[in-house]
Parts: sequence; C-alpha cells; structure tokens
Amino acid sequence: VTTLLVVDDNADIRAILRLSLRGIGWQVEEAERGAEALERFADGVHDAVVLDQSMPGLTGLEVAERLRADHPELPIVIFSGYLDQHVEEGARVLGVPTIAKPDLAQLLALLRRLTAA
Amino acid sequence: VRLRDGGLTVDAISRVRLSQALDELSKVQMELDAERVARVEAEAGFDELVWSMSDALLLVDPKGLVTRTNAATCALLGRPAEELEGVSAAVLLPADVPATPWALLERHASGRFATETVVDSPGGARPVSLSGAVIRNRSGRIAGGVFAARDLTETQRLVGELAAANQRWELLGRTSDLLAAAVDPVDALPAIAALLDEATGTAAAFILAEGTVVRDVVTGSGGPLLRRLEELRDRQHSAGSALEAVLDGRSPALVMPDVPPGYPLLGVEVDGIRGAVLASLPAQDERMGALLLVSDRPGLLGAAQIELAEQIAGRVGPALGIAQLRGSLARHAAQAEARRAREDLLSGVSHDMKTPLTVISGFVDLLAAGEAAGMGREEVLAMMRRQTRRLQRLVGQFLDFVRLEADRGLSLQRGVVDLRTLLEDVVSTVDNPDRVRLELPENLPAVESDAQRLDQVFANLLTNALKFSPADSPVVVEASHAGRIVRVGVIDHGPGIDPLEVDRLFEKFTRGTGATSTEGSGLGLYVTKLVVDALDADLRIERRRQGGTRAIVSLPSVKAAA
Repeated sequence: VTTLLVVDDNADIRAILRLSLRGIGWQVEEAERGAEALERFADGVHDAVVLDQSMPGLTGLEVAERLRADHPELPIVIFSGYLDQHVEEGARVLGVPTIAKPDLAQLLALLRRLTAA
Repeated sequence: VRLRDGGLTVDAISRVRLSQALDELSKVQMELDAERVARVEAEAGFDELVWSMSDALLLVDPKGLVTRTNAATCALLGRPAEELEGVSAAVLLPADVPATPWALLERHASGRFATETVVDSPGGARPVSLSGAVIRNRSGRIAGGVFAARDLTETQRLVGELAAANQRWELLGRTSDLLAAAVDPVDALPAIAALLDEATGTAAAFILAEGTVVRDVVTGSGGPLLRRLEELRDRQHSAGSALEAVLDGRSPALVMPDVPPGYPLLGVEVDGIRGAVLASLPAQDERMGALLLVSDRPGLLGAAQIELAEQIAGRVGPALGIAQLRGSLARHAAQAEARRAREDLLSGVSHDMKTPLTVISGFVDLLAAGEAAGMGREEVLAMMRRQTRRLQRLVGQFLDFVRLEADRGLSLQRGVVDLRTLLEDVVSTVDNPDRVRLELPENLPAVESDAQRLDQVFANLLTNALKFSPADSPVVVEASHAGRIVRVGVIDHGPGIDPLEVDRLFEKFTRGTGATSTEGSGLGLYVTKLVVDALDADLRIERRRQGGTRAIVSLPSVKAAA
C-alpha cells in the first residue's frame, strides 16, 4: 500500500486529499504543522510527502529541505496557493516539484507518476 | 665823556667806546626784533593750530568773553569768527554748561569738566561731546578758559548703523533658528513675521503662492493694516499688481516708500498702506511667494528695509522650497508604498481564495466520479459549506476594504442578534472547529448589532487565534455581561502579542512578526477594527499574563425586556 504524508494546516485540505487518494487505494497520514511532520515522518513507511508552503511555524520549503537532507530520493511535492518566485526557486534548487492550489487533479496525477517510478 | 656848559665833549677814546656801545645796542635791538618776529610767528602758528583743529574751540577771558575761536566752531554754530569774538560764551553754550572760568571752578573744583550735550546748529540740533577747562598763568592766576566740542553726528550715525547691522544679524539668526526648529517651516512664519513687526515697526506678512495664485497669507501680530490680506487667499490672479510682478519673477523685490492712494500694490485694496516693501521668497528655481512689509506712514521704508526683507526672504524661501520638495517626495513614497501594499493585498486575497477553492473543486470532482464514499454526506457538505463561507468572507472583506478606501462607509443591517447561535455558527465554519471551546453563560443577553458583520468580526478573530497558537492548543471563546455591555473574549495560548505591536495591530496591511510564513493579506484586523467601530462596539487586544492573547469585543445588549 502506498502511504502518503500530507502536511497542511487546513483540516479540509487534508480531508479532500485523504478522500481523493483513498479512491485509488492509497493510505494518507496527516500532520498539521511542519515540526509535527518531521517528527512523524518514518523512512520506509511514507512513500511520498505533500507539503503546504504557508503554515504557522516551519514553511513547506523548510520542511522539504530537512527531509531532502536525509532522503535524497523521497518524492516530495509542494501543494500551495502561495507559489511566488522565491518559493519556486527554492523548490527548484531542492528538486521538489510544485503544484498550485486549487489544481488537485494535477497533484494526484503527479503523485501517481512519482510513486510509480 | 664829559658834560660841560650844556655841551657834550667826547674824547677820542670815549668816541670809540661809544661807537662800540652803539653797535652793541643796535645788535641787541636786532636780536630783540628777531625774538619779537619769532614770537609773532609762533603766535600765528598757535592761531593757525587753533583755527584748524577739528574740535570746535572757544577760548574765553576771565569774564567769559570769547577771545578766540576756530573754523570748526564757526561751522558748528553757523557764524563767522568776527561775530563770535567778544560775545559771552554763556550765549553760545548750552544753558546747563558753566560758561565762565569762575562758574566752572564753582561747579568743578578740578577746573575741568566733560559732558555730552546738544548744541543748536544751522542744520538742526547736533550731538556733541563738550569739555571745558580753566586756564591759569605761571603765577597761578586765572587767565581765562577753553571749551572744546566734538561733533558726534557721524559717530552716532556709525553707532546707529552698527546697531542696525547687529539687529539685522540677530534677526537673520533667529529666523534661521526658527526655521530649523519647525517641523514644517510654514509653522515658523508667524513668529518670524512677529519678529519683523517688532524690529522694523512695520506689519509683516508672508504671502505663500504657487505661481501667481496666492495660497495662504501668514502674518505676525498683523494688525489692522493686514486684516484684509485674507482676501488674497486662493486668488487666481492679481493681474497688474506689484505683487504679481514679484510673484512671477519680473521683479525680485521692490520698495514703495510712498504708496499713492489706489496704487495696485497687492490686487486687493488695503486701506492705510502708505509704504511697502515686497521681496520674493526664492527657492531652487521658482518662487514660493513674497514677503510683504507695510507701513501706515510714508517715508519710513527704504533701502535698509528692502535689504532686510531680501535677506529674510532669502532664508525663508529655500526652507519652504526644501520642505515642499520633501513633502512631495514623501507623498510619492507613500503612493508607491500604497500601490505596493495594494498589490500585496490583491495577491494575498487571491492566494487566500485558493484553499477553499481546492476543497470545493476537489469535492466536486470526487462527487462527479462517485468517489466521495466513505465520508458521510453531512460531513462533506459541512466542509463545502465551510469553505464557501470562507470564500464569501474573503470577498466581503475585500469589498469592505475597497469601500472604505473609497470613503463610502460600511453597509450595516442592524437587528437583534443572539450571540450563542451566532458564535456556534462561526465556530463551525473556521478551519479547525475542533480546537475551539465555547464557554458561554446560560443567560447571555442578545445584542443590538449586525449579524453578518459580527460573523465577520468573530471569524477573523478566531482565524487569527487558531493561526497564531500551537496546533494542539485550544482556543476559548468566553462571554460575560455587565449592565448593558456584553463582552466576548477570544483567547488563544500562542506566544502572545508583542506589546510593541499592539498599537500597530489595526493598521492596514500589518502582519504580526510571527506571521511571516502564514497566509493572510494583513487586512483582516484593519477591516475588523473598522467594522467594530461602525457597530459602536469596542475591540481590545491584549497579552494575557498567563500567556497567549485575548481579543475582547464589547457590544451593547438589547434593552432589558420588561
């Protein structure tokens, strides 16, 4: 079973991702903040991570940077409404793709592609 | 030599001696003559010396009659020497001066005096320094007296000029000080005008203009002469007037020592102006207006006043010019800042809309694919409703902002609002309703307000409280009432608001320092505060001693039912 860690401070976003991915047989675990995500992430358990960018505490980019340091191969996607030049550039450097909210369909397609590889 | 029978017999020897004696005698005679010539010459030298001395001299005999005088005396008194000699000095000297040697000795035991006084002269009274002394001969007897007068007119003119120059310097210095001390140099103008009033005995006014349009008139004490200058304000044109010539640069300054009645000096008739000075206030490459000095008497204003006016104007003009430049720079900066803030706001609002759109469109897709199974229909609808409300609030808040910016005010629909129902509803629509704890008393009275606006206020305060506190900490909504006031508090357990930031909370586009990574346009509290004000309510945000932040909204309850 593919397991995804969704990090977003908005409960409804987490819910829609959970429901959407359950349809294709994935399991979704949730974290509300970046620090919580770093605590909960377990290598070998989570196959991919979806990060919101703008959250209280750590930003999505900051979480991605820390995860990337230990897990260079881990598929990470930033799914956010706040994609400016600064975020895009930071994500590009980390090799993390970004998808702009509200394009959920594109996010799902990308996740399928990344985990299939 | 023998004398015999009436005859003179001179022997030869005696004849020789006599001749020798006669020679001697004639030599002595010649020496005496030479001595007399020398003495006469010396006396003539003394005469000449006395005659040419620059001080006016009167020499008198013991009775006080003039024996000798000089050119300076003749010039000072306007009379020839012949007329003065033999005249009693008492007639010529001021009455309070002892004019005979005896009188002088009686008054001054030392036999001399010095004083400053005024003597009558053909050109009018002249200030002099006058001294007198008793003259004694070798045996100590009084031989006469001497009086010397020095004309002080020139000295006094120099002293006057020095004093005037000094006063001008002081005036310029104080003008600079006043300009430097004022935040806006225009604020210093009344005091500068008052200084000019006092220093010149005129009435001074600063006429501030853009081009030839008078924008303002600033006077010191002003007085009746300048009262009508108010009429100059916002004059589009003062065509043909002397003021216009100074304002448009044709004439940097002008002085009218004697203003003829009806002369077009200012473009408005100011009764009683008989003398005027106008000097333009020069700035970099334009004129900021003009300095006007007026007098109610002709002949008072002249070169000195125009020089002073130009010097003062030369300090005031550039100060006004720099202030204007600074003002327009600040305005430009503020405009740029407002433009940037508006862009930030637009991007913030549009970003804020993406989360609810994601949820709504996601569910629409799921429902379309028949994949929403596994979640209750009610739960899905609640989420969609919640995010729709959020979208509505964002749009509403943005519209409020636009209305407020355009000074159109907020639309209100007042009515009786049940706070419990309202707060429960608001809580159900925030992102994390589970974290909110409602602690409302049973007997909470209804309030007189606008339900939709209150929804907006509490949704904003709750969203902030959830955003700025740890994910697992509760946010408490409590309420109490006293008299006709109902207080609703929204309490979070976050880091607490920085006391230094409290004052800035309600400013446009302010975001808490802890908010750098959290979404938000920075508009929420600004609009919320304005809404609260419009509802005649009160909003206070404070740091709690136990930690966290408390926002308190005070509302008027409905009048107690009978």
